Amino acid sequence: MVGRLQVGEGNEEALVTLYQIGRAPNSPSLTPFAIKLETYLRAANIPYKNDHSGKKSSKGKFPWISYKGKPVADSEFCIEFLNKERNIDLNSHLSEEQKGVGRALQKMVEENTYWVLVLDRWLYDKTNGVCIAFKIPSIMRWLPRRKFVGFAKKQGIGLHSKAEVEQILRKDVKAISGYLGSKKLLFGDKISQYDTAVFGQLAAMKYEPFGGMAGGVIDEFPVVCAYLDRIKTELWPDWEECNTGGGTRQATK
Amino acid sequence: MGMETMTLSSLTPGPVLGGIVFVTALLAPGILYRRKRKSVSSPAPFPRDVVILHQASRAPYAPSLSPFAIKLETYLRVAKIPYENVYDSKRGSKGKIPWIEYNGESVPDTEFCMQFLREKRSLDINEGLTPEQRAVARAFQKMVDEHTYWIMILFRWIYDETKEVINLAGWSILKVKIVTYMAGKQTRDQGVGRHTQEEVEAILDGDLTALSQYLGDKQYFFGDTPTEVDCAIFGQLSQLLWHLPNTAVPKILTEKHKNLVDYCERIKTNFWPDWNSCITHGDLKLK
Repeated sequence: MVGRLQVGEGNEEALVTLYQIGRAPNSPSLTPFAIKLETYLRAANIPYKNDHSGKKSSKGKFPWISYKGKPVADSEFCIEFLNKERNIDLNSHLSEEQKGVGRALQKMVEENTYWVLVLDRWLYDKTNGVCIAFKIPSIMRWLPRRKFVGFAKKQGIGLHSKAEVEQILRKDVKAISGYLGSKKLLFGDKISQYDTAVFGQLAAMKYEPFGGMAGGVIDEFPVVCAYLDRIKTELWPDWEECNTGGGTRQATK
Repeated sequence: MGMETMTLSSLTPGPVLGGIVFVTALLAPGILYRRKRKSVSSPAPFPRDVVILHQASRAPYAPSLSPFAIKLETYLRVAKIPYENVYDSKRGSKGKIPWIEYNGESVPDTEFCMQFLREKRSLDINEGLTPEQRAVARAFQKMVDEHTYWIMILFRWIYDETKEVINLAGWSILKVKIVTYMAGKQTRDQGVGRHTQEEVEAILDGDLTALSQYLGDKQYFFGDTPTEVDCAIFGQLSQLLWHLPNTAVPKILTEKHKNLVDYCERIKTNFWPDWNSCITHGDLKLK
């Protein structure tokens, strides 16, 4: 699997600037989409530097990039843009059918599993881990909580009970486990673009569980845990420099 | 230059009353709409072991405006489960339709309904699928129901200015305005509504390409017999193919993903032989 971080090397002008929201207590970001995008940059060997200043994208979200002066919003659009600019195709070893499956797995984790993460962090976690990580004072926490739980209700998943949501998560993770089987990565030994998306969502749950239930559900699936650990080891050897040690220090990267 | 400050004492009764009436008129439809959210058992005695499927009335060019209702009704037909339709606006316990009643128990949410019936009737139309195929099925079902669905909503409520199908379904102007507003907000909160129409069309094409690539030249997603995921995919595709006539969507399907169109026609022929009596063509007297 390829993946050497090349921050600062080469021509400054050809460096991608990755705008994100700062390092998280035990993982590189509090948003799974930033973990996905940064994992992709590493897998594709694209030199980049981080900007944690909090500038939002044109669509009002994080993460986003700028490259040779051009800003691009939305993690998926960023990847498509860089694939074109730099002639990259992490899916070149996939058959058409596998690409179809990859797309479906990515949409499952980003449009379904993701909302479990939202509910887990903003509603189920009574330790208020995410609020503390975002430095939101206690009296203000009801505001983002109401906003995110409201989103989840409108999306649909927020209408279910906690037990039902846990079952929904279990089925999603079981699907990833079932598809992986005995393979190293989703489609064999080489990393694909879809692996970066799946890693982004599940790594956020596994390595930054706070006081919620999602991390425990991932732990029920050793195949998935080994898969996540594998990508973390290969592409994030500096993982500990990319988090704040549980909020005790500044991240060095 | 002085700026007049509005104080409570400067408000006269007339405008205040007018304001209250205006706000009530704005909020009332939403409040009344929400009050319908109660699952009430059907009063008529229905036969045992027959599913009562609660859904909205039949629609112009497909059996329902709801892809989830078509998914569930297609599943009942594929699994050969006897059922009767109740076309009402009573919502299930989660405030949504469709939902079912079966031997006195009520179940909301199409996925929970299918799981419930699988257990109660000891029939699994997914039997025989390998763990890998079940994983693929789950992924595609989530993609179409949690992603492609929202793109359909954008096309139906935001991009299609004619709203031909909605008008043929007989919705009041007020209801259309309220739902259009809500759809705009929901799609923005979900994410897909933040993109341009061109970007959304490309994203939709990505989903359709994935479906088309996996289906290939097979009859159904996993071979010669339909499974649960075919019901979900058919539900969503039925809206894209037949209920967005004044948009680019049917053309994207017919010109670029012919195998998906053939697939929909196959399911329609094999499991909806009575299709023409399940659509209204805009005739509101038909149900």
